[in-house]
Order: sequence, then structure tokens, then C-alpha cells
Amino acid sequence: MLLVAAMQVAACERDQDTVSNDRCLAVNQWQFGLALGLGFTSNPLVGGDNIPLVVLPDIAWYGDEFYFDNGELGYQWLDTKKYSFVTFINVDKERAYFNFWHPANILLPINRVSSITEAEAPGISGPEQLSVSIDSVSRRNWAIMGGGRWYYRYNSSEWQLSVEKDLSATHNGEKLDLSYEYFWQWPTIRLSTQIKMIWKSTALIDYYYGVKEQDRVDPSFIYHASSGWQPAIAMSLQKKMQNNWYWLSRISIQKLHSGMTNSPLVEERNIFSVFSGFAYQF
Amino acid sequence: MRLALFVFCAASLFAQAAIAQTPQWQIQPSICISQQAGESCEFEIEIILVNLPMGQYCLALADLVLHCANAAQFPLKLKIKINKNTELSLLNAAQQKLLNTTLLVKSQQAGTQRRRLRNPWSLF
Repeated sequence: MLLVAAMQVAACERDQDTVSNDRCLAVNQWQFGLALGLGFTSNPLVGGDNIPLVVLPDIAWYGDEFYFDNGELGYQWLDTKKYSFVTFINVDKERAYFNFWHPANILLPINRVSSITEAEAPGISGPEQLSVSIDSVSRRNWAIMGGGRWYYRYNSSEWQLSVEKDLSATHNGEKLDLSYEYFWQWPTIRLSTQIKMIWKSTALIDYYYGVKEQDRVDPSFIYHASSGWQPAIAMSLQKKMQNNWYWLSRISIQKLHSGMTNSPLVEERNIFSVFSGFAYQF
Repeated sequence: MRLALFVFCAASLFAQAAIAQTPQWQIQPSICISQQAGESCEFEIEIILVNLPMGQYCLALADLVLHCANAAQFPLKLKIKINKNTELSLLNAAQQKLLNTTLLVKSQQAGTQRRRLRNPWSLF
């Protein structure tokens, strides 16, 4: 274990003058950041509101092996300059598209919303129902995902491969994520491009985007969603300003696969995300 | 042969003269020692200019201008606060970079840094 820790240190300290320097932080110290700006993540679901991006926190803590980084809790088994391997748990973000900023979530208690969606609101009006929306289907729950991730770094690029499985028995699905990031670094500017291929299993996709009997909709809307690959590309720009101030910009697009977009619950084929604003690292 | 020797000697003398006239600076100290890795480090540096003509010069830390002064005001002492290795530059009146040096931050407790596994603000 000591050897692993020593290698971690060496990997970080060797990079003092390179791009990785911004990604090195002190062990056993919390790092907080707050970004204020404008942006949104589009919601591909029928009746779903875009997710506003206005105030964004950045919270990280790294011990010798354990770490917490923006909602992900993990254990690092290996970290050399080129390779890393971690196991982790985090929350599946898929649920965020359901009622995230929906007024019903803010104005009514959760159990009231739940009782409405499951008993009263469903479109059980038979053949007169024209569409299905997130308001007319039963509640989807958050899932806790757990898995492993490999990192491979070479010059100004990084490969990541992660395999995740639902540990909370919410949908019992799996996810595979392969990404490649290339970055350019100047004294105060870091520009990066990331290309991703995300595979989501049938169990995961069907749980969130399938329409089932228990959704109590017109039977013609019943749909069994299936697995598929979702390619994504993202670009981000980070400019260091005076003291601990940064300027952040990020734009991304994720293409959804037909096994998901054919669902009557889904009306968009892509998910866009954009944000630009100022950030302060405490 | 004599001509070649003459040309060689003349070229050497010219090169030495050119080096002697090259603008240079000395910065002392150029290393700041912090308690822990990643912590801010404040120290006072002395900047001595060599072979620079009279005129207005500015000092920039990581491309941000910190202080401007006439050549006559050098040697100059300046307090600086950095939390990582940072480039200090000397700019002329036209804001062109004439000289630069990297100020280093070293921690007393070595080996207390880790590479972050996710990008900052990776929540969105």
C-alpha cells in the first residue's frame, strides 16, 4: 500500500509543470469550488424541462487511497504516471431527467406527487390519450451504480474505460463507458476535447424509458426499450484568472440510440449541454 | 589560414560583445517553500536588471501584470503569492515579453499531493 501511495505522489509531483498540475490536490483536504454562470442540459423526455445550470459546486476530497469527487466515492488501487485503476460508487444521473425542476416537485410534497402519478394522474382515459409524458407514468427511482474504471495517459491524452452495475437493485442494469480526452495547455488556459461511447443495458434503458403496464397508460403506448451505444463529444475551456478565479465554458452533445428514442416517452434524439461562467476555487 | 583565424577571432569577439549586451535579469529567491503541497506561498523577491536600456518595464505573473516601473527603480523588491510553479515575465512598454523565469513552489511536506481522477466541475 505504501508503494502505491509513493507512486501516486511521484506521478503527481513529476507533473508539476504540466497540465496535470491543475488536477493535483493536497491529500486529506477538502477542496471546494463554486461556479456561477448560465447554461442548461436539454431534457429529451416528453414533458421534461431542461435542467438549468446556474450554480455549480465542485467538491473533492482525496485520502491516501479513498476519494470523494463530485458525488463519486471511490478507492484507488493503482496510480502511476500512465495507469490508474479505481473502484467506485455513484448515483446514476438518468433519473435527473424525470421531474427535475418540475413545479410539482417544488410545490407538492414528494409523497403527494407519488400518489398522484400512481393513482390519479395516469392517462387511463383509454383510446383518447394522445401522448405519454413523464407526468403520466409511474415514478422512476434513483439508482446507485458501482464499478471499476481504468485510466491510461499518454502525453496530452487520457483514455478511460469504466464498467458499472446497479448495486441498488433499482433496475439491475449495466453501463460501459469508453472515453478519450485530448487537452492543450497554455500558461493560463486549458482546452480539452472528449469523445465518449457509452453503452447502456436493456435493463437500465427499459426501466427509465420503457412504458409498462404499471404506468397505467393506454396499452398502445406500451414500449420495451432496449440497449444501445450513445456517442458523445464535449469541449471545455478553462482560463485561470487572478487569485483563484477561473472562467469556465463547456459544451457537449450526446446522441441517443434508437432503442431509447423510439420510446413514446422520448421526443429528442440528442442531449445538449452548455455552460459558461466564472468559478472560484476556495 | 590567417584570414580564417582573423575571421574566427573577430566572430568570437563579436559574439562575446553581443552576449555582454544581452538583456538579463536575476531573481532572488526564485523558490518559495510552502508548509504543505498545494498551499499558497508568499515570499519577497528581488529583481535585478542587467543590460536593459532606460525605459518603462512591467512585471507579469502568469501573464497578469503585477507592477510597472522605470529601469532606474531597479533593483526592485516585490511580494508575490503563488500556489504552484508560475512564470514571471518582464514586459517592455509595448507589452512585449523580454525575459521570463519560472518561480517554483516546493513544499516542506513532500508527497502530500494526489492526482485528481475527475475533471473539476464534473457534475455537469
